Amino acid sequence: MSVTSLTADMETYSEIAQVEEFDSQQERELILRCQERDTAAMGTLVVQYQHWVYNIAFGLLGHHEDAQDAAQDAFLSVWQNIDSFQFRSRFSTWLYRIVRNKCLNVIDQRKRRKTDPMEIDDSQPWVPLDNVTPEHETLRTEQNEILHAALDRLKESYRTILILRELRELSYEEIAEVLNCTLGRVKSRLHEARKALRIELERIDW
Amino acid sequence: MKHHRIQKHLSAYLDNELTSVLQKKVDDHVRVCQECKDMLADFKVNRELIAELVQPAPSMKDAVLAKIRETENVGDNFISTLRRWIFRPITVGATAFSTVCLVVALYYFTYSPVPQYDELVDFYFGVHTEEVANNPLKSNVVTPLSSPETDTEDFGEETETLLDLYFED
Repeated sequence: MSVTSLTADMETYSEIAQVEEFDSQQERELILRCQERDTAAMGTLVVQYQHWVYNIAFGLLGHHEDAQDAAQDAFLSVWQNIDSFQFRSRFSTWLYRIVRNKCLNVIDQRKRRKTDPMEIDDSQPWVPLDNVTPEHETLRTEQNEILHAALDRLKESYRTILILRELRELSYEEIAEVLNCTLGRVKSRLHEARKALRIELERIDW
Repeated sequence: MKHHRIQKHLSAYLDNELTSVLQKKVDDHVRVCQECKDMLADFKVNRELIAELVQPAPSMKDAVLAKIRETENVGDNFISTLRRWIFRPITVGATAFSTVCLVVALYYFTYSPVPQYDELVDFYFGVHTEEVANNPLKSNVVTPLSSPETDTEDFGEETETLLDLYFED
C-alpha cells in the first residue's frame, strides 16, 4: 500500500471516528447552520454521515462508482432541501430515505439501459473472513460479489430492509421511520426478506 | 403453537424483538425442530455476511462541496449572463425600438377617430330599419289578408248605400 493511499485511508478512518463523537445537539446546530447556507457545516455533516450513506448505497447498488455518485447526489439533495427539514424525524432517517430514493433512481436507470452489472464467477466456495492472504482477499471479494448478486435478485423492498437492518443495524423503529411503514410491517417484511435471501444463496449454491 | 406460526417469528427472535413469553416459546421450539434450527442458523450466517460488506467509504466532502458550489454558480452564472445580455448595445437598441413601436401602436388604437364598433352597429341598424319601414316589399312583417276588423270596417256612407242596394236585389 502506498503512503498516499495509506494517508487517505487514515483520513477516512479519522473521519469515521469523528462520527461517533457527535451528539444530537451538535447535529441540530449543524443542521441549523446548513439551513443558513453555511457550507462548512454541510462539510461536517458529510464527514459525519458519508460512511453509512456510502455503505447503504453500495449495499443497495453493489457497485462502487454508482454508490459514490448516489451518495454524493444524496448529500446534494440534503443541501438543496435542508430548509424543508423540520426536526420532526431523526436527521439520519431523513437522510437514509433520500439515499434510498437516489439508489432507486439508479436502479430505474439501469433497468432502462437493461444492463447486468453483476457478471460474476460464483464457482468459488465461501471462506472465513479472518483469512487475509491475497488468495483469500480475492475469495472474499468474490464472496461479496456473490452476496451482492443474491441481494440484487431480491425485490427492492427486501434488499433495502436487509441493508438497513443487517448492514446499518438500524432498530425496527428506525427502519419503520425510513420506510414509512408500521413496526408489524417491518417485522414481517424482514422475515420474508431473510427467507428470500436464504433461497437465493441456496440457488447460487456456493 | 404450530410450527409454521413459530417460524414466522424466527426473524424477530434473532433480533430479540419478541416479548419474553413468545421468545421462550420460539426458544423451546427451535430446540426440537431441525428445520427452524437450520433456518435460524442461515439467518445468522447471512446477517454476518451482509455486515461484512461494510467498508471504508471514500472521502466525499470535497466532491460534495464542489457540487454545491457548482450548482450555486450555475444560478449566479445565469443571472450574470442575463444581465450581460440585457445590457448589450444591440439589445438596448432593439428594446428601445420595440418600446417606441408599442407606444405608437397604443396611441393609435386608443385615440383613433375611427368609430367604435357599437356606434357602427347602431348606425347600420338605424339605416336598415328606416329602409324597411319605407319599403313594404322588404318588410318581414306579414299582414293578414283578412281580419275581423276588415268586416266591421267603416267603408263610408256612399259605399254602404251601394252595398245595401246590391243585396236588396
